[in-house]
Amino acid sequence: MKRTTDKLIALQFLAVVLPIAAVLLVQMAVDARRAASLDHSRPLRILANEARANYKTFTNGAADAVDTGTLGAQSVEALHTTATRLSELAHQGEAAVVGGAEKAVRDLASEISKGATLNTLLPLRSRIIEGDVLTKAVDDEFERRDEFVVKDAIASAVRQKRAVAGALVITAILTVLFVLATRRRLKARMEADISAERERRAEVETLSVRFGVATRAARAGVYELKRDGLDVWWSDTMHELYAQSPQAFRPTMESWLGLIHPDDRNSAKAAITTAMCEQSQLRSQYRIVRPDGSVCHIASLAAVSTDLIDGGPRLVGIDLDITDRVEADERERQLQQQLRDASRQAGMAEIATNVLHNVGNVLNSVNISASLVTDRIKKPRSAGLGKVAAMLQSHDGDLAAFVAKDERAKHLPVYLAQLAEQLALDQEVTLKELDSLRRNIDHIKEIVAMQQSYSKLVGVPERLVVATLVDDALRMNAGAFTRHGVNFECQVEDVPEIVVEKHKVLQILINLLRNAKYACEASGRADKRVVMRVANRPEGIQIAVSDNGIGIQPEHMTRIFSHGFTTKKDGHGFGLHSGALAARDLGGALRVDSAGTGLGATFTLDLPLKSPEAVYD
Amino acid sequence: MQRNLIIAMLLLLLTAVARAAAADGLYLACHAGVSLASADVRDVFLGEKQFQNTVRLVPVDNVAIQTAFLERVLKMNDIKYAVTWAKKSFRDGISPPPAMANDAAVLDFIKRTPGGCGYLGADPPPDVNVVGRY
Repeated sequence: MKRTTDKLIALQFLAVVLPIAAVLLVQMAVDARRAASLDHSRPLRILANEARANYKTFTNGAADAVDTGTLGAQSVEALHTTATRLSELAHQGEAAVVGGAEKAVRDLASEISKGATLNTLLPLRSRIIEGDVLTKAVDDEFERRDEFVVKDAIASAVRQKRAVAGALVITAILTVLFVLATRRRLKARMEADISAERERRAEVETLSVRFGVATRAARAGVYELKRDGLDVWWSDTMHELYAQSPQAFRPTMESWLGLIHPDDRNSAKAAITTAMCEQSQLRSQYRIVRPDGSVCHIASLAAVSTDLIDGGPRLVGIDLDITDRVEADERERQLQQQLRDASRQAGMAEIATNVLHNVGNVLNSVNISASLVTDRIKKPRSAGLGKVAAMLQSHDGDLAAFVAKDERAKHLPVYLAQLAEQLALDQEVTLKELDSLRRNIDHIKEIVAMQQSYSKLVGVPERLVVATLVDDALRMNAGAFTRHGVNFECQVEDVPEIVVEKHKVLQILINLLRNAKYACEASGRADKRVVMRVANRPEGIQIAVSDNGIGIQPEHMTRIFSHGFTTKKDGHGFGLHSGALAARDLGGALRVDSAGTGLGATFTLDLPLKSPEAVYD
Repeated sequence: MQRNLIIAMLLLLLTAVARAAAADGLYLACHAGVSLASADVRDVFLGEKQFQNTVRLVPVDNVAIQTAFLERVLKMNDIKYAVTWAKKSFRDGISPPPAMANDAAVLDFIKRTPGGCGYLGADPPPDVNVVGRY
């Protein structure tokens, strides 16, 4: 608006100034031309006038000579002066005008000398008259010229006056036109501004309504703090949020803080103070206690801006009722905890099952060894030896005769030798089985000890060598791999130690190895093969378990980690799900790749060098 | 000598005839269309008045009756008239009226010359404007 007005004023100024300036410039040019003309014509006129005046002096002298009879010296001098002036005129480029006057006067002057008498003059009367006519003509010509210049100057001055008058008229007309145009434009602009202002007000009103609806719908209260909290303004929704009547409750910093839960009051005040002092954003969460005693969770978001009136900091923000969200978060947290517990229990169950399975395998060997030993013991070789002893005792008195004469005694040495050989063999077998039994029992002890060691480290991140972790997992599955004819290969790069919860990683790896074993077994192929690769990655390490088993159908890829999803006959769809959750808890991820059915699969576990829990250590 | 005497006698005769004629009548006539007041006649013949309205007046002297005209109309003699015109011609650069020999020449000049004025001894014809009788 102001800009447009300034432009119009400038245009008006130009409309006034430009015509006058143009006229002045033209006038200056004309004045210069006029002055030049006058400068040129005026000296010529003076010369011609002097020539004429001198000639008249001469003719008057001649006339006087009629009475006196003699021409005065002054008259003669005047005649010569006339000739000189005419000569000067001719030399100033006016020879054409001077014409024959100069010659006539010069000739006359040459004939009339000082002391000439009337008798001298009378014969020259016609030539004197001719000279008079010629000098008059010259004088008239230059006078005419001069008068023309003067008249031209006068006419020019008149034209200038007219031009100035015209310029003034034009200026006046332009001024009137510009004033009218300005008025019209200003009027149009004002109308446009008024219209725009109305639209803005309508827009503001609409925004206000929308804002009100939005804040009510969001259960958000709006507040504003100024002058370090001395001035506090609350929106209606803010009063509703705090369950305070706008008529009864006057919001101040103190009264506001009084509504905040005592445990959160100091932190809420500190957040506001910090935001005001540091001119920073405010993000705080606290509880308020409503008049009915109910507790409501509030999230407060605010920003500091400069007050347009006093220039001080102004904190404008909203309070959101997040009670439902907090409660939902709490419920979710509890569910997650339950899920983690279930996962943990399931993992423990899996580990326990694995342990029991391994122990069971060992127990089979134990049973076989025990049976063999039992069988050996049940078939004692000592019975025959007893019969030999009884037979010898019955012939205690005639033992020599018995040995010499009895036919049975003749076979005793051979029998005893064979018996000794058999007893030695039995001893050897028994000792072998007992040794096997001891080793199997030791293995069981080791398995149990390992389980116990994992149990006591649950939930505690520890620094681990990845290769050791992998070995443990393999050892727990080695029996099953051997039993089902699965070849196993492990490729471990030189990776750094990681800080994780050992049992979670072990739980994931055991699940992956068991699944790989199952996939190979289900494929029915002879060359069952599982490969475990440990590799470095920029963000941590990567453990991949690949098999050449039955693979995964593409439509199962997106559901493979879902709870309850399984392709095993006796599966329960929990192992991979819990593994994925555990990987996420560790700050890593578990993913799967498979080219399709019959083409095997690769499960990859990405782990950070430090799990989130360990970061805070 | 005899010849000069004859010429002088003729001149005396002519002068006598002129005087006789002058004594008989003196008319001031102008070219048709030129009106001249009696009071202006002296000024016209002494070069003081040269224009009548827009018409340049061209007076002529009639030698035959000049003396009579000078005496009756201009109230001066020949010498005075000549001196006056000598001064006038020197001072104002104008020539004295041309001199015509007789009425016929004057009349012819008047008829041919717009603004022509002259004095006659005989009654002028009607194709000239008679502005004075003396």
